[in-house]
Amino acid sequence: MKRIWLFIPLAILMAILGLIFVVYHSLEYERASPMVGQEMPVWPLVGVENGEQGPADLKGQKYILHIGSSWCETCRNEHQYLEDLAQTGIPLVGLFYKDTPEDVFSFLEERSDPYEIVFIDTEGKSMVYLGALALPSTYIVDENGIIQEVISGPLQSTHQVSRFLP
Amino acid sequence: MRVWLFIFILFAALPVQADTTARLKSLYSQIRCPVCDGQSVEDSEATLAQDLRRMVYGMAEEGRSDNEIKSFLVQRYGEKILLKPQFRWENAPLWGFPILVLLFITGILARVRHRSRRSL
Amino acid sequence: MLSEVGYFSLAMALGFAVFQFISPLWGGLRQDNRWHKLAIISARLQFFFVSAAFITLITAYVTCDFSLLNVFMNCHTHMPLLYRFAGAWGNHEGSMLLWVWILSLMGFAMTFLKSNPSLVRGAISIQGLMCVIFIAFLWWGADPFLTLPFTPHEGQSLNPLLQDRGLAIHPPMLYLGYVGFSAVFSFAIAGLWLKKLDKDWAVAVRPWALFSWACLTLGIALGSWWAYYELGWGGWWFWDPVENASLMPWLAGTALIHTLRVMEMKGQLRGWSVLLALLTFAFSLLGTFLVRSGLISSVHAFATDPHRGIIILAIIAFLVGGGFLLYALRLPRNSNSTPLQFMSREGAITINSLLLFAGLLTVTWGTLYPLMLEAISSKTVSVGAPYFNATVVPMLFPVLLLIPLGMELTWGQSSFKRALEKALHTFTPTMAIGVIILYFIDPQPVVSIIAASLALWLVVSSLYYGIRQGFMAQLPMILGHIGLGVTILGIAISTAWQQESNVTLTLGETTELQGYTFRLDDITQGNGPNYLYEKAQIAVLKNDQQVTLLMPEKRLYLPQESMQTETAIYTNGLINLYGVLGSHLGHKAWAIRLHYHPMVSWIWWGAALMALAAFLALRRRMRTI
Repeated sequence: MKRIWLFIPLAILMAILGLIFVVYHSLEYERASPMVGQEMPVWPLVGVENGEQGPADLKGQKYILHIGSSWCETCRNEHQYLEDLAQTGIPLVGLFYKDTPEDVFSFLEERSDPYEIVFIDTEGKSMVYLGALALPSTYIVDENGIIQEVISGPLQSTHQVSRFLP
Repeated sequence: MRVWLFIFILFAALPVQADTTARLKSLYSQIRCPVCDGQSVEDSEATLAQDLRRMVYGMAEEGRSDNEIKSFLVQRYGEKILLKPQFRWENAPLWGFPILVLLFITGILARVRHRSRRSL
Repeated sequence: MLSEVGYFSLAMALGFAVFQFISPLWGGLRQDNRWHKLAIISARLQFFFVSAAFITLITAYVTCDFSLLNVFMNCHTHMPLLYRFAGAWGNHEGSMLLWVWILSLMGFAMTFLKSNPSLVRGAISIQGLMCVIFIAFLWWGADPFLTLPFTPHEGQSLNPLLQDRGLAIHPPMLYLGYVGFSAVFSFAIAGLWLKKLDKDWAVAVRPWALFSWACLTLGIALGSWWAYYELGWGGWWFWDPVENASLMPWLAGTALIHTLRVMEMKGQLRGWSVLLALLTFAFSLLGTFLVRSGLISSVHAFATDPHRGIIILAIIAFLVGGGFLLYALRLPRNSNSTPLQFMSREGAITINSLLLFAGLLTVTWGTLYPLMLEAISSKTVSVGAPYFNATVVPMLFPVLLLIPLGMELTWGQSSFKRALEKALHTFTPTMAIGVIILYFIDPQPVVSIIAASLALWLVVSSLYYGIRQGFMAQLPMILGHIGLGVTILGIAISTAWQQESNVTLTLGETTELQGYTFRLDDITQGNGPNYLYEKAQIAVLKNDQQVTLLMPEKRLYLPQESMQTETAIYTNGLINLYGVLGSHLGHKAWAIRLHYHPMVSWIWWGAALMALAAFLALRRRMRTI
């Protein structure tokens, strides 16, 4: 009877290996951001044009919030996709992280301005408020101010967001 | 067992750290830098880690409690941002396991001792 | 060319490994000694060919032969010779080849054993089987000799983090420890199969366990030392899953070298020792799996490929599962030894081995828990340093208390009262003095004061034991325990009283930390062999006397264009001053981070003492063989 105990190490090993095997097949490396399904947070920001208080002011219409920066190389590279998105008619909100109005305006003049509204975050607080991991990141927000999708890192094509477009 | 009691008392008697620097340091070390590999924001110089430190600092200055600060971050980055999972029922297996292990080895020791007594 | 040499060597090694595995079995069946000779020759030739393959890869790296994919991916002509050399194992395939080389080395070493012929033959055979499996894995799963269709002129360089002197020796050391335990595993399997698990078995196994444990201790210490000076955060242990993976076999191995001693002396703890022997290598394999599979990503996971992970998982299931099955079926029924005396040295060792085991299980649980939770509930959590500090550390506290007591207890029946008296001789004064002095310096963290005093007691009581019983008789034990005390003293004091300051300095400006004045004298820029650097010169003064000049650097490594900080560390044995150069903030101002770490280097000195003690014990053992 006692010798049954000797099988315990084997049983535990098999349980652990089986579990690792299952985990190994079911792990998703790309997880949805916890922000999806939450309301767009409110935090003090200065709108450059109209003195809005923040993206939450846009409640009532669907929009795309893009957080980037004039000094960030990958953000510059994805600018063309933003221009394409602007063509579809969905309002784009540009949030410039750790940036200055001079740099932002000269950047937008140099390239083009696809944004409906531009906010500038001089203090560098927006990343944390938005739960962003990477710069740039793109947030798609619905009519009720609920975040529908978060794309971390540069856009690869406009198709990534096409299912959310009107 | 007395040893364990001693250690328990030791930990229970730890003075509550009122010092702000100590509080911040302890908070930083409990928050994972989401873009680094397993390091806390205290141990990382990544931009996001710096932002998180600043945010925690700002919230602490405003007089928010540790729990408020943590849940603010959990809401945005998920439970994963905390290096020390909270004491909640969902995390019972995690925190309960060490206790089970200790009970288990205590059981074995009791048996060993019993046999040793009997042989005398 | 080198690729063909490599393939040829591996193929020959694989062939001889098959012979090494089969011929002892066949010889045992036929009762024919010539087969055993063949096994020995095969093991030696197998080692020769694996060495040839390994040297081929190193040659390819040193000569920058970019026709090999592996060299192209990790080598660059501008890299200094040492890092080209070490680059050979700074990548997945190369490190697996190193792994196999050590596996083969252990089999080679076994062929020189004279005593216990039947047991040794069995062990050589099992070692051969493992070589077959892992050479095959290397061949099909992690091929270091893959060629490119054309030869590029220049390669992609090694990860700059890995271009470091400490890291050139850290992997070989760590692997000697990890894979060294394969020999212990082989002996355990052979012992189970032959049902020869007596005192002689313990005597035969212990040298292998001691050697591997010493190397593992050094390997872990080197890794943590590297993290300390290279990562630039001033930390030396992050409870990173990869660090945990190296700690697991260490905890099991520590328990093992002690229970084997009990088995040698008294013939007791047989089942427990054999289980630990199997477990130690099982955790080495699990560590390899965790690091290599990409389940857990960090600096160490050079290459991640899901198929490799599954293959390693299957290998673990086969080897360790087979081992545990044999354990269940063939562990001899009743030992002839008398039941264990509780109040004795072996009793103390039993308790401590169980506590180490509890720590081991908790580390494993904490490391795997996030993975399991994510698989079951698709929820994600992180289990990091705070969890382990709150669970594992207090579990290992009583170990510290028990060691001095255990040393005072004698083998067999012994008087607890006498031992307690002897232990109290040193306990009371050491604790009193330690606590008073430390409290006087800084009363803040009570736990640290107690931990440091206990560690001090471990050192003092070991010395006291040596003075009374003679140092020479039990030098390894005394030295090993002093080493542990020194390490814990370093840990307790450095974590409790470290200081840090983040400052912005302009040229000529000064700042203060812990009575030291730091003055930024100069910032220079220049070119290294494969990087550009910016170097600060910070004069450190105490009482207007210059103590040292700290020269931390920031390096931009080419061709990856990745930025690395090189810390500057001043140590006088008692305290470390640690400087990191941050970014240029304009107007001749730089961000600079300064740390004050009291006694942190004792952590590694203690580890070195522990390893030295194990090597000493090994040397004594060698003399008696």
